[in-house]
Amino acid sequence: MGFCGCEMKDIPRPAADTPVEPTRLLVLSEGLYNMNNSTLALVDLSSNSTDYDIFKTLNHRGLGDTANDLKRYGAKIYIPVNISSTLEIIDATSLISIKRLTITTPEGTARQPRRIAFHDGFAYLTCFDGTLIEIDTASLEITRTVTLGRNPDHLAICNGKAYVSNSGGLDYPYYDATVSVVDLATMTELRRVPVGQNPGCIEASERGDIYVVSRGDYDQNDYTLHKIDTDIDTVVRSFPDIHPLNFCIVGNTLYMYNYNFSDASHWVKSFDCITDRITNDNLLPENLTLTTPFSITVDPSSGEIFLTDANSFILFGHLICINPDGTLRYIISEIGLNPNGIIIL
Amino acid sequence: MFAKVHILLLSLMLTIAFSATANDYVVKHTTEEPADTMVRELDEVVVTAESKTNTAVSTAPLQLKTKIDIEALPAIQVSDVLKHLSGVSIKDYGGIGGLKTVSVRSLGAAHTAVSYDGITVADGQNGQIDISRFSLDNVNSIELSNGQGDNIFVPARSMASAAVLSIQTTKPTFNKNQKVTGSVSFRGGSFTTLNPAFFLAARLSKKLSLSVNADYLFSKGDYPYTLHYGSADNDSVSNERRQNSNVSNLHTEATLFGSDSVNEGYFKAYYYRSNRGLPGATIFYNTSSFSSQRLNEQVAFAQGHYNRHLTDIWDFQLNAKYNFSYTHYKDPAALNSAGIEENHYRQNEYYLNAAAQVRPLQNLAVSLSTDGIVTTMNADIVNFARPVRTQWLSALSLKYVRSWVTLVGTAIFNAVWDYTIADNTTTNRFKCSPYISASFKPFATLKEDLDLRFRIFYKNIYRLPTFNDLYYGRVGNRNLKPEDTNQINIGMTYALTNKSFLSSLLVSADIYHNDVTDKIVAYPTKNVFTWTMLNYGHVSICGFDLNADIDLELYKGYHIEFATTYTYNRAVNITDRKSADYKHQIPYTPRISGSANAILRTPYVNIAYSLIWSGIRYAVNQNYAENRLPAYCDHSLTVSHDFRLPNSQSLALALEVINLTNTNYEVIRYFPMPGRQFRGSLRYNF
Repeated sequence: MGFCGCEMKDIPRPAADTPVEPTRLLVLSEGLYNMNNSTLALVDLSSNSTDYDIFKTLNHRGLGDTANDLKRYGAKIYIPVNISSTLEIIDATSLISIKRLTITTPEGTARQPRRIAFHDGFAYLTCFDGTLIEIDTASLEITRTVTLGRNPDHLAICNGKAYVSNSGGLDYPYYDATVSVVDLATMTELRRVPVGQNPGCIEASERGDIYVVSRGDYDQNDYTLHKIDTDIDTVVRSFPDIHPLNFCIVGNTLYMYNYNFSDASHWVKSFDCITDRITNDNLLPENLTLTTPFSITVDPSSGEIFLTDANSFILFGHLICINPDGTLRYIISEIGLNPNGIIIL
Repeated sequence: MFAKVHILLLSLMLTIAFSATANDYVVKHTTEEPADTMVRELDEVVVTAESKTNTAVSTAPLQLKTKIDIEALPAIQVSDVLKHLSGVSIKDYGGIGGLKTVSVRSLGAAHTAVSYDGITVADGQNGQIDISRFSLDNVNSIELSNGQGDNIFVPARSMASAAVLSIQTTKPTFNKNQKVTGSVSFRGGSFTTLNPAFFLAARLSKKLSLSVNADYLFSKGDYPYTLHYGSADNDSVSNERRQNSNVSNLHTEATLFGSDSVNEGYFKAYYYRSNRGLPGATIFYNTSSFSSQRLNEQVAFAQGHYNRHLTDIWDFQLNAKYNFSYTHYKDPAALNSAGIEENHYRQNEYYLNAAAQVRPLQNLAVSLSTDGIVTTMNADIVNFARPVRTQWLSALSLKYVRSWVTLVGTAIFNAVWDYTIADNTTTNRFKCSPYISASFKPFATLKEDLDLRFRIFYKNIYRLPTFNDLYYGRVGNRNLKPEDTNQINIGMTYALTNKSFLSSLLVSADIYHNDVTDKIVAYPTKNVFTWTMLNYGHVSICGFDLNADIDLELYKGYHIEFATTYTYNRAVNITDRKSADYKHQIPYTPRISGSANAILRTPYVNIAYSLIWSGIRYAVNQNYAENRLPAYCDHSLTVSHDFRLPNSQSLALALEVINLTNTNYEVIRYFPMPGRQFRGSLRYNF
């Protein structure tokens, strides 16, 4: 065609400007629904190089559609991919896929896995079809399954029990409002703890308490943090004045952020799980405005806070590294579409 | 209370329309064009090329495919034909049942009005018409106008959009003494595609005739495709078969035609039902993920058109329509607590138009056309707003025609009242939109047979936010503003007829600049039925359309026809200078695309080759390699022959190979298109 000179050319992604340090990060981006474009990026700050999809580079295939979680356990990394309904298990050193587990019912219906946690050599995987699945991390076979509430999402493990947020998100606007407590020895549900509408992020503190946020219908005043005593499996305290959307716990420190979907305002704070008080109410560096904070991770050794920013969901999002004192360390822009998890290698 | 308001409005509108035609004279005359000069020009042209030449005269780009053109294309649906027009992009989700919408010059599908026998087909819910619904069995011609057509004596609604796709069905013609005419046809092809149809027309009296037609289209649609797990050469692939892509469509229609020296009109009843799978995107490692979602649709409408030639200078017409549509969406594998997701949508539309045209001078026509439209929608969605939209649309137009110039101007007044029954809110909108166009034939006096014309048009029009845009669950946004478009087009046409072996030549070239502000973009990201609203803000579009049609007569009865289109379209997002997608091409919009057709017509056999091609596109906003969809070409071949039988009967046989090279491509990312397909058809005309 004589007119091919008019054809478009790909625009290159902007190069990252980062400090040189011996840090290697894996950044998971869930991509867009039905676009099969979840990616796993490898960032190597020592050589200032980024492979935006190391998984595809090494394994010659994409991760799939809507990868929701990225966790390391032992020498393996586990990635539940929700719409593809797979659990991708890769070697933590070579990043080469060891196994891709298909997460379906015996009849072949997709269970849509969401998040994963580990205990005593076993992985526990929440699935949107209302189940928690146990996987032997040595044989990588599914061992047991238990049925819980509606659309289980996040989970945390403490005291030999799994605490699973039943979001009920697919019944919008009639969300679930409970946390299922599962005895991992018998793989049975012990009880459902009422917490608040649409429970999401759930994590255990070192002291042995479970913190969970209920998000209501994503009105920021609905976001409420609750604390569950794992001896009596009951909410012992709710914090109606703190409105985190999402958080993570390192030791006994809870790092949380808020995002108001109606006016895009947001903050990042830290909270002490012993005193149950805010310890730092502004961890967001000055002059830094996020578009849509999407995940928070803290490096236990350095105390660095990693935030991901989903941007406008359809534009590539960013990774922001913040020093423990709340000053900006670096930004890696346009790391992937909807970045939602990181691992510090 | 509501109904009263509607009736009041409609009667008010009628009063205005009738008062415009208060002087009642009855004189016979039937030419539609206002000036004699125009009629003379049409007479110069040979009969076979008459309609094609009209497109050269048009002040705004007009592309026409007649029945003869359509028969030479590898087409089973209207959408297949549109792929051969310039400036058009069809969002095709693959397969016969896959959603197909038509966007003209990157303005978005909701800016394309679709008219069926002169009356607009509307969808208040989506704003865009799924043209996979229209079969080709009874279609006589397909016309696409940018801006608006030159005929100002039409319903206001067909002037109130940025582009108009007009589908004209076949009006029966009878030979002398013939009382009944018709055809029976059967088409079959790959992936268990079956398409029987019939058309029957009877002459009831000198003034009345009746036609009835029906067609049924079934396709299993289980075509094979290759799923690529990456774009690099050594990335994995798997061979898959499309699941849940089956479709079963029934369309039936009956029309009563009437005409005499001063009156002309028709009344049509139409019914369509479709039951199809929604195959969804093909998901890595979970290709059966959308293997059970279903969509059932029913559309029934009755429409009527009445035209009366009142006097030598006055014409009057009335158009009316009632449309009911029903959609049932079902996902029996949903992971909600019911284990099923199911919605029923019902829409009603009441439509009435009255128009009058007067020709105060020989070369001048003025028309006033006014439409009243009431659209209601209900759905079993939690907290559904139950909207009622009442619209009063009027167009005042002027047309001036001389042998060397045509001028058209229209002002459209639009008043809209949106009311929601569920929460009792009202939103009012009023707007006036101008259109102006002109065509010049500057060298007519120098050289009479030099048909070189220049044309220009400007149109400002907006589209209303649809019910989905405004009220659909979590994605709907009541604060949406209407989407405003400005179009400027400058072009030229050159036509030549009967120069030795050149039967006809028609070349048109147009450059255009479009501007879309407050753009609302809806495209399905969840599945083809659930839409996500994106507000792009501001899109700037610069483009170039080229069409060339050549008909060569090699020998008596032996013709070769070439038709090509080329489209250059730079449609970039200029909403926010600071945004990472500033000046990036908007999603699913190729920068370059085109088509080519070559048809050899002989007394024994007709052979047609056709090609459609598209450059790269991006599936998401940013023009990064990761978002890129590769370019493609789709080649097809059609061989056909008409056997003449006694008593003006005939038998038409056609064989088609579509996607000859078995190219695996996608128009929408992860919605694979079928590979090589074969189709055969047999039609008996009597």
